[in-house]
Amino acid sequence: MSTDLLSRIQVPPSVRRGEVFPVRVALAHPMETGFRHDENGRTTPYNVVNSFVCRYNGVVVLASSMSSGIAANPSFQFYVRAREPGELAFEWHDDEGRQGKASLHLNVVG
Amino acid sequence: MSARIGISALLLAACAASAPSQELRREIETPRSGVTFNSADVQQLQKDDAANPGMLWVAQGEALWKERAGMSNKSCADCHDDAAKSMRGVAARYPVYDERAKNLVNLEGRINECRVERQKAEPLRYESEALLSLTAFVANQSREMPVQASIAGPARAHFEAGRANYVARQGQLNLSCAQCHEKNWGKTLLAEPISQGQSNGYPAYRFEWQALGSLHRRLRACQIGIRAEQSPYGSQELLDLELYLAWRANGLPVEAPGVRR
Repeated sequence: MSTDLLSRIQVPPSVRRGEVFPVRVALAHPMETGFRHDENGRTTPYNVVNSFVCRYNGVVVLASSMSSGIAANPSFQFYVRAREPGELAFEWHDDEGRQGKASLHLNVVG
Repeated sequence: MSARIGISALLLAACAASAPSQELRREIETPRSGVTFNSADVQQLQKDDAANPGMLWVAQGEALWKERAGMSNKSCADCHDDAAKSMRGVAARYPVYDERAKNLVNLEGRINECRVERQKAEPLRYESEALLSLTAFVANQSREMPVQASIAGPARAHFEAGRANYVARQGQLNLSCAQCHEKNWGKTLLAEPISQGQSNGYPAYRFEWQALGSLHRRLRACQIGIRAEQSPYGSQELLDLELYLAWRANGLPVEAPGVRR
C-alpha cells in the first residue's frame, strides 16, 4: 500500500464561468484521539489530520486546521466560484508527519 | 460397466441433492436489507458514492487491482483486465464450492488463492486493509445485482452446517442467531432496531468500527454480543454460515460497500 494518504475528491465534470460549484472531499484517516488502547493495552498516540488546504490556480480558497473531535475518515464539502479553467490542488498533513496530495483539472465553459 | 454404474449413481445423487432444495422454504420469504433498519441519513450516506466512506476502500482496491505483486510480477488486471466486466456478478454468487480446494471459498479466499497460486505472492492477512480493499473493490462491481448463492451439489452439506449453526443456541446468553434475526426482527434491543441479519451489504462501513469490515468481523461481533466464543476469521464455521446467510439473502441487491450503524 502506498504511504501517501488516500482521498476521494469530486467536482462537477464542467462548470460555467461565474458558477458556484461544490467540492466534495473524503479523506482516509483514523483520526486517533489518543484515548484509545490497542489489543495489548498500549495507548494509540494522538494522530489526526491537522491541516487541510485547497488552492485554485495557486490561490488558497480553503484552509482548515483541525484537531480531535472529528470522526474518522473526515468528509468536507465547500463551495468555490469558477473564474477560469485551471487546477484545484489539495494538500493535508497529519500529526505523524504523513501528507496527502491530490489535484484535478477544472473545466470552465462559457 | 463400472463407469456406467458410476454415472447412474452420480445422477441419483444429483436428484437426491436437488429434490429437497425445492421444498426448502426460507423463514423470511421476502428479505429486507439491513440498511432499511437504519435512519434516512445512513441510507443516504450509503446511496451517495461521494459521501459513502466505504468508497475510500474501493478506491484503494482499484489501485491494488492494477499493482503488480509476487514472483510472477503480475497484477490482478493483467489476467482479469477490466474488473467492471470480468468481476461483474461474481460477488453475488459467492461463497461457492471449489472443486480443487474441496471446500467453500468466499471472495477473500478466492483473492488469496489467486495471490498465492497465480501471482506467487504472500497471502493477505484476513481483515488487513489490503484484503478489505480488494474485496470491497471486487464486490462493488456487482452492486445492485441480486444475490444468487447456490446450494446445489457439494455446497449443500456446507449450507446444512451453516443452518445448523444459525439455529443453535450458543454462548452465555444461550441465544441462537435465529432467535433475534428471524423471530424478533423489527423490534428493538434497547435503542437499536433488530435487523434481519442479511449479509448483502458486506464488506460494510460501520460507524461503530469507524472503518470498513468484513462479514466475518460482523459475525464475530454478534458472537461477542451473545457472549459466545469467537470463531477465527476465515474459519469453517464462519464460511458455512456465510453460505447460509447468502442463501437467506438471495434476491436482495448487493450493496457493497454498505453503510451501517
